[in-house]
Amino acid sequence: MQVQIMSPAANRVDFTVPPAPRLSSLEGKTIGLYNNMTGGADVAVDRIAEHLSRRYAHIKFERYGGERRSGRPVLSRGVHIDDAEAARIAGEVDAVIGATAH
Amino acid sequence: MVAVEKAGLPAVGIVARSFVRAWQACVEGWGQPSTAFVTIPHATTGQQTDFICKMVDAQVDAVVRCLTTLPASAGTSGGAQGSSTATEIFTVEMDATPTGLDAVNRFLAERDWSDGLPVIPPTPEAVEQMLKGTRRAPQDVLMVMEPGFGLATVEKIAINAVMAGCRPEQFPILLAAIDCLAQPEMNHRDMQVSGHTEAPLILVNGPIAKKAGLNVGTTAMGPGAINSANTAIGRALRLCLINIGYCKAGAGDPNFVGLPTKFGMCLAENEEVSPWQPYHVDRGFRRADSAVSVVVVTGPTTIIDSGSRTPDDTLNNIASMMFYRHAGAGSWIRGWQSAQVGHTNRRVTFPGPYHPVILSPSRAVLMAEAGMSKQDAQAWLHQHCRTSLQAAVGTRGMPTDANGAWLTHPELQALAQDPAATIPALESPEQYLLFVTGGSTHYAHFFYGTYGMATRPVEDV
Repeated sequence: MQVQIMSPAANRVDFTVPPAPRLSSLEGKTIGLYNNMTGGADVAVDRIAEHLSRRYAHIKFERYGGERRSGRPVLSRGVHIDDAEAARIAGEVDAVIGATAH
Repeated sequence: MVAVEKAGLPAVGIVARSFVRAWQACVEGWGQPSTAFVTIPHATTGQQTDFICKMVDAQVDAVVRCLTTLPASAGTSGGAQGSSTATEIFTVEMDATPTGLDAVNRFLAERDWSDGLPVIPPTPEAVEQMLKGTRRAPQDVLMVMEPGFGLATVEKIAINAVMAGCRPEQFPILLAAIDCLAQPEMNHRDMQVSGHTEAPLILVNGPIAKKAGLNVGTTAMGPGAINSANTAIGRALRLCLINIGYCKAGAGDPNFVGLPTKFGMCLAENEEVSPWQPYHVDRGFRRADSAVSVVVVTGPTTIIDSGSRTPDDTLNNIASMMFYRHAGAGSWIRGWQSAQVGHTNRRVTFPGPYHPVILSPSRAVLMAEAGMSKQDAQAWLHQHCRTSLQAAVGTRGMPTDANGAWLTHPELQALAQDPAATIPALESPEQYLLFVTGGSTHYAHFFYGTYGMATRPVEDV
């Protein structure tokens, strides 16, 4: 016996983002460190920053996420980075390293 | 992180091994499946600093590589389907042998289109019959369901409803539940992709409950033939979350161990027996209307209330559930949660969590006989369920301005040094969602709510 069945899987919004060009080196660059305020994510990105600081004499960092504090770049729209936030970050750093505790 | 790449910056994520499939599902949904990541053995949450550092130390070279070299798979398609609305139809061979009887289930499971239980084959005839349960057009889109950004058309929902064993008269309840999830304040994205265990609880009010055959008595959340409507509707929503939202176990759904209630939960209020006004009337509907509420919860925990003789006894018993300090206790002092709306830059703030308390009619009657309304009971819980202000602030601290002033609830800052200062665990009394159903005896269920809640009308077909 043949049974015909309809696919339960939905069509998806067609949405494609090309990858960004990569850096030739991290030397002299400013790197964004993003954590979404979940446990230990800040520790993870800060540890990476420590290592990179030892490797690259002129590397700099800006931090995104965590609590709002004076003099620090912050995320104005909660813990997630949306397009508007990403555009602002793109004016401040050359690359982003992120951790979400997961 | 895909938004960062979209803005033209190379990005790399640090991802725990058990969340790699979740990462891949999310970045695929956001349109760049090759978004770079490095892997660490365990999630960082709940770990000591030294242990996190040790895990991360091994990945420094990989991080540098990801920022300086394009991944080999860069530019590959994420599998997003085109704009065609035609639903694929497959032919499956079945026969009366054990293997033959299971052919449709195997076909669906091989494509990850299943909740793991046997289903009713979604034949075109069965789907057509299901669509008679609504006046909505088959290609109406109720929402874009995340994390896969799937188009929740009425037809796709009907297909999943057939698979779950729903009947056409139950279909409007399922559609209303998805209308609820479509509300931005539900924050259904975080419900879907969170690592902790949570699931949507469907609450039904009004005449539709009887029409749909929902059990409002003993074992209403349990297995059994008398609960077939409750079970099928709850299950149908889960199948939609899997097949329309692409919330696949271990991928889009990264719950650390899962939750039996994720197979589906649907309850109707026992309005005939409850001494209080129905929940949908609390939400602004008329008693004669039908409405569905969806709230996102973990749990439940059973409250055994056999020793209680007074409303205070019962409410004290319920209040004891709030001792678990991660149940959102006091988190409102940092302001409302917010949810991003789809791919847009818009965010919606919403109050929460809502903690459903499923009361046996017996417990509601105990309070009502003492002259207590539902609102009185909610006010009691709001007043008595408290947490210390210092515990609410915790090690995370408060968001402050440049002068150290609290940005949210500055009126409480003067009490911050007082170890005896307390605040209500939840911001508003109505966040204790009292819902009366089940057999009339000395029990209640307490669910910890997590994200948002919404109520929508049910179509009268």
